[in-house]
Amino acid sequence: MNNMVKWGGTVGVMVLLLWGNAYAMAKELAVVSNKDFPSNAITAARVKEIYLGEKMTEGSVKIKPMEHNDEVLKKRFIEKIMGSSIDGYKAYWIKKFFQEGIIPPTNKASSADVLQSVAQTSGGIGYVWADEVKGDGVKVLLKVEVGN
Amino acid sequence: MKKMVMGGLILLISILFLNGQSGYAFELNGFADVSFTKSTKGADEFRKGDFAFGTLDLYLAQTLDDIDILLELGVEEGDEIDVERLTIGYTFSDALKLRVGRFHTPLGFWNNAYHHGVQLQPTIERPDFLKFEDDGGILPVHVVGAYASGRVDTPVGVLEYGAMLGNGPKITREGGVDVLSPNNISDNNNGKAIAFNVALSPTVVSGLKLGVSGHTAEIKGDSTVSPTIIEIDQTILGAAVIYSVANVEITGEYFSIQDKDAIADKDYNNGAYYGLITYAYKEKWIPYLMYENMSIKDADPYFMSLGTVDTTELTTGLRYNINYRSCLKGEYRRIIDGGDDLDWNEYAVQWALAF
Repeated sequence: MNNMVKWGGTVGVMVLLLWGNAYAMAKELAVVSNKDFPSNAITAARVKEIYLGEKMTEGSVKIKPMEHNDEVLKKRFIEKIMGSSIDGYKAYWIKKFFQEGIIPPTNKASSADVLQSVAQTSGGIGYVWADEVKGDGVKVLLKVEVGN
Repeated sequence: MKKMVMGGLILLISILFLNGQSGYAFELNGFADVSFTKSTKGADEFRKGDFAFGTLDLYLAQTLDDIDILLELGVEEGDEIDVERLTIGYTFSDALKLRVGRFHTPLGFWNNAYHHGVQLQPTIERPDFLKFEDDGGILPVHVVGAYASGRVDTPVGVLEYGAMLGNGPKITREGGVDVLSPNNISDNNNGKAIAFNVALSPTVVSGLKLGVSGHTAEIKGDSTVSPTIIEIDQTILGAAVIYSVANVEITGEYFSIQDKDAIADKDYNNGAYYGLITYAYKEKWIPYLMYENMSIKDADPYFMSLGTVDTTELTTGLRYNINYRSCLKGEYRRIIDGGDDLDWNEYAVQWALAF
């Protein structure tokens, strides 16, 4: 009986450790904006509208969304926030740009580029890994867990 | 606007030159397609089975210091350049955007969803009654004027609207046939065309979009058409429904075309509609089925001039997306041409590309 308790306890602790480890490793992406952006928080649904070119203004500010070139981050963002495949998202923007002349989000090469451009652009909005956010010119509007 | 090859090329080269000078990036994009069509009757050129490249559509858009510009050029039949769209605009807010220039009338859904981008549309051909003016179309698809549009979140759903004021169309003779023309640089009558479009995507039914639209204009023939005196007061009313659920999309549009012959003081009510259903399997394979019908009054001078006849058409096909830019389509059409009491079949394949 004692052995069973010991084994049960050991297995339980291991499960908790593994679960905790997996939880700790779950990555978050952060949607950041220029510090003068009129809102201090945003929903995932609103982010989706912005990156679909449906929502283009916030108050009197024209929103300028930026895309990240990091394939892993971009894929997570598009799948988790946009609810689309990469190809579906690209096909959508071919259509949107052609139909309405709305400019797709501009591409930035790195998180540093995204943060710098967002900080320097009125209405700038972008996304980076949450642990990469730094600088006084930006603020975090939303954090989303995107798995390991 | 026809045969503006040099003008169009100069315009394009100028913009691309400015691209380098201004610091703004104008990215040239486009659509192209090649088709093969074989017909058992109907148009002579397809009976033996012919290859044809469609419209080479070139477009670019940019926002220059908050001013939006869009240019779309179509190279048709290999040697003619049309300015399909040229708009200058300003976005005040999501609820109000203003555009001036040449654009598509806000009539219906298909007209503004696909424009000249063949790769975007599910089928190889547009519904017959939605063809462009210079391709025998019966609806005023293009216009030169001013256009206000916007998008508003309401408690019942997202409401989109558009309203325009522009030159009304005219009937003119091109290539030996009378066609509708958008009156690009002047209006040949006093009345201006007015059009609107309102669409609601209700919150309670995800994937559903309902729309109504309308267009009213005074249409006259110019000196090239026969008979030269055509005066039509035309009112078009349209209704559209789009429903996307899972991988299925259902689209339907109906147009009522009411022509008043101002000379004979007679009224004619005409109708046209299509229904389209598509099913997307893994975003790659998309079988589709479309049924369309156009029913017109033979004595209506508007349709007499354009040479339009009653038409019923059934189209079934399969689209394969090679990738997000390129697709192959194969389709079968059963065409019933009421005017000449002719029925025939068409078989077509197409490779369409966005670049």
